[in-house]
Amino acid sequence: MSAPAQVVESTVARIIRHEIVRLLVLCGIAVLAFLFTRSVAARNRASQAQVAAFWYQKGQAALRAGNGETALESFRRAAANEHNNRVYQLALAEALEASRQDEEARELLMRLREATPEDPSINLHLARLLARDNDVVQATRYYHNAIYGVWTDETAESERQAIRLELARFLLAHSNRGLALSELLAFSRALPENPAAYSEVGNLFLEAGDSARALAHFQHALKLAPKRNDALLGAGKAAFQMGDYARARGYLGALGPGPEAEQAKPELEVAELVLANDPLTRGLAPEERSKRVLMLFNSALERAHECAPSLEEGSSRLSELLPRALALRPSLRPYRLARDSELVSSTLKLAYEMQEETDHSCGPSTSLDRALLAIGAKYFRSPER
Amino acid sequence: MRENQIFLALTILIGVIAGLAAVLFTLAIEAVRRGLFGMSPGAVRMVLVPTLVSVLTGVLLARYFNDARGSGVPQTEAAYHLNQGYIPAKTIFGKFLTGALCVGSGHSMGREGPSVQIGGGLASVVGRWLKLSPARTQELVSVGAAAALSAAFNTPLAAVLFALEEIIGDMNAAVIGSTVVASVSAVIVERSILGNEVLFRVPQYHLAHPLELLAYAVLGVTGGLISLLFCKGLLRLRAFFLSLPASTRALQPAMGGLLIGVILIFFPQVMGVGYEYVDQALNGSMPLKIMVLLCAVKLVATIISYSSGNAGGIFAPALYLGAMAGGAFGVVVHRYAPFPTGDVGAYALVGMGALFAGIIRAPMTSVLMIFELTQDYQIVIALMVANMTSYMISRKYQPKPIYHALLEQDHVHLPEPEVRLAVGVWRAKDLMSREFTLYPGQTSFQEIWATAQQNREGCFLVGHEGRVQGLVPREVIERAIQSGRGSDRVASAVLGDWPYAHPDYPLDLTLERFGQSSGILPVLSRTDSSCLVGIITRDSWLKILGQPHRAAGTSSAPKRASDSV
Repeated sequence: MSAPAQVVESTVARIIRHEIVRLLVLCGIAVLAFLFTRSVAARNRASQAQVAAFWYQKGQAALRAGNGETALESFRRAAANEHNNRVYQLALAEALEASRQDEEARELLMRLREATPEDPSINLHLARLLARDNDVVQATRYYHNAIYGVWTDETAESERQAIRLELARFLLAHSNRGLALSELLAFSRALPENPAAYSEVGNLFLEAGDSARALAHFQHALKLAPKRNDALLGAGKAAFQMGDYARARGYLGALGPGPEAEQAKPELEVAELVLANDPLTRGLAPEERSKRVLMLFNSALERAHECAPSLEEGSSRLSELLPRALALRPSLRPYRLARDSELVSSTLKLAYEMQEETDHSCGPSTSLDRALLAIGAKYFRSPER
Repeated sequence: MRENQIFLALTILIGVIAGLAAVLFTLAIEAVRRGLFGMSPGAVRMVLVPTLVSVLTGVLLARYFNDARGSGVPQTEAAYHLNQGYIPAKTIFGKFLTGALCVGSGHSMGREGPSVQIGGGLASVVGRWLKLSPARTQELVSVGAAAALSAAFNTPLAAVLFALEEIIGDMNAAVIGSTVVASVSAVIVERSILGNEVLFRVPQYHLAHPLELLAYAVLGVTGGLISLLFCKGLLRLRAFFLSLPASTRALQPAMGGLLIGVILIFFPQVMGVGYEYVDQALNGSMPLKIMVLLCAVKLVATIISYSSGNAGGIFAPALYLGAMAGGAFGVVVHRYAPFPTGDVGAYALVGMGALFAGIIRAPMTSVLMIFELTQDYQIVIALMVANMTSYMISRKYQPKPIYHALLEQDHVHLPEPEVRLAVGVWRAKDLMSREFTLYPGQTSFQEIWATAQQNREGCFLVGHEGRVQGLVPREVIERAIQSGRGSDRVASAVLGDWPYAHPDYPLDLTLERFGQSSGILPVLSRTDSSCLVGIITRDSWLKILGQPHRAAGTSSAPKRASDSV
């Protein structure tokens, strides 16, 4: 080799041996290694996604076959292979919920909710878990989050309605009538035009204590299906609760054969007794009025006599009412009652009060007793709405 | 100065490269597992895969990659302390290959230990390529190891502490800054590729009642006992495998693989790293019976996998055992404690720390690691209580840490802390004489006596080709001659236990050992504790007394090419 070539070669070798050059080479290696590792990681993620999909399908199949444990295990593997897949995580949460592993389900749902707080399905599952724990406040909160969350599919409205109904039922089961009523009101604004829906809502209004709205819904159901038994029963009960015994008798009496008719018997009997024995009915002849008052008074007195011996001294108002009734009894003549409307009213009131105390102190009463209570409530106390 | 400037840039580069290597290693394990086991393996595959793969890795480890066996952490420590950080490139490749195959084929081992060796090895190769000084290359190894661990476990601070606590063994090391930089670089790289996913879904922790700390202390005791069981079982079974004929070395991993395969049929949950089951225990979704069973089976499986000579770590199994033991303990406490208790998952979390502290013997790393996983300061108190209890019990009944004990089974002795930290002019290698006589074991008492009468040595070394078997005291030879057993072999009278030194022993320690000897103190190599490198006699001391004062680290003996520890 010639001298200049040797000089060039040794210079090149010196440059290559220089630390900076080697550092730069290392940087280049690091960049290439980074790109290579990234592509390997991407391929790994794709493989893991396939594995996750396999386990998810297996979980769904196990669910369809009713094998909850296998489904849970399969969803676990799916979620483990693809941590960020919301569908798999949600499936796992549902499976945990179904197998009563509430603690883990809740943790998982809370974590999912952190990323998408407005997701209705996550909020709904959380609500159901909390409902299972009877945590009314938190469950209601999450039910509302689910109802007012961001729904993206076309069935949003029907889903919302279903959740609202579920919430109303939950609140009624926990005697939270006020909140249940407001949910039912919102729910009833968008009812489908079918008698079953109106009957169902009518029953819920009845349970919530709003007889007037309940009756309105049952009447609408009857308009759509006049002979529908559950609507007739519901309407009869609603009318009964409102004190409209004539209407109640009309609805309950129109029931066809079936279980509803059996259910209606107590109310129907009382309604008929009320209508047959209400002394303050308009247009009643004075003799008939006095006869009815006397009958009711004597019935209440007899029940009070039967009940009084079993009571402790001073434990009930009967100890005060009974002597009053006994003192009044001799002066209650039919002709006096026929002429004196004040006497009719005060006698009926005394009979009602005695019956109330007897019912309270000595337990369930007969149909006639219930009829007296209904009559007395009608005139001397506002019916519950 | 130039080297210092390059070192900072190198630290970042090493962090990136080691981090990438750790990520690739994790991906390789996953790919091997998916490729070998498929979606839903049957019983036959469960048995065949670990067995057949271990046949392959057994041959690779026995023939080509001997240093790739085992965890990787003790090997990195040995390279750091005894070979100035020298790790051959072949070892890195071998560790990557055999580690991915072993862990991916179902062996109950972890990936963090191998990552440490791979990261440290890459740093060593880079340091040598850049012609850094041996001291700098040595420092770079700890940096690479910390970076790899940081990426493998996604806990940068704990990785730094682990490098200081375990690899370097000095919490005040000057390299702490570089280790932090490299760890952070590695984690950034790892997260940019794998995302910000956490390794475990960790429950919210809270101390329900002050008396719970008592419960955590009891958990620490339990953890300490389980750690002891694990360490002693591992060392005993490994000693058994090592005692088998050398011709079986290549087949031993396959023996382990077959046993593991049978276990996997009934308990597939103990396969590989098993972090998904740790996750379940942390979230309280495992029944008590299952956790107890898995704890026991994982302990047995890991002992079998490791002691039969496969490549993989014990980091992850320690965490797995802790999660199961802690979770089971948590269920019992939850049921029977007369005071309010936290979630079962919290006990699993603290259990992880306790077992890690008891087995790995890195209590501070354990506390920081769990803290990094939870990012919740409240757990630190309970962790410290449980960790220190477990650590103290483990240390009392197993004084040597597991990594050091494993090395000693391979006849490698790491320098003790007092040796490393000793600052002085003279060391044993400066005193020792390299001229010594080793009598073969077949030598008779009569033959030795002929030499013994010419000097006043108190004992004689027995061995062959530089390897010492033991010592025979002078009085034993005298008694043998007097009792007419002159023709007996000296090998029959060799003392099993005798004082020795290593070349790097400081003067005070050397003097102390010499005082226990009979006038000859053998000096043994650290990398092969049966290899005699010199002897120290009374004359050695007298020679030193006559030497002029000299600078630290220089020797009066002529330097040789093989002048190492």
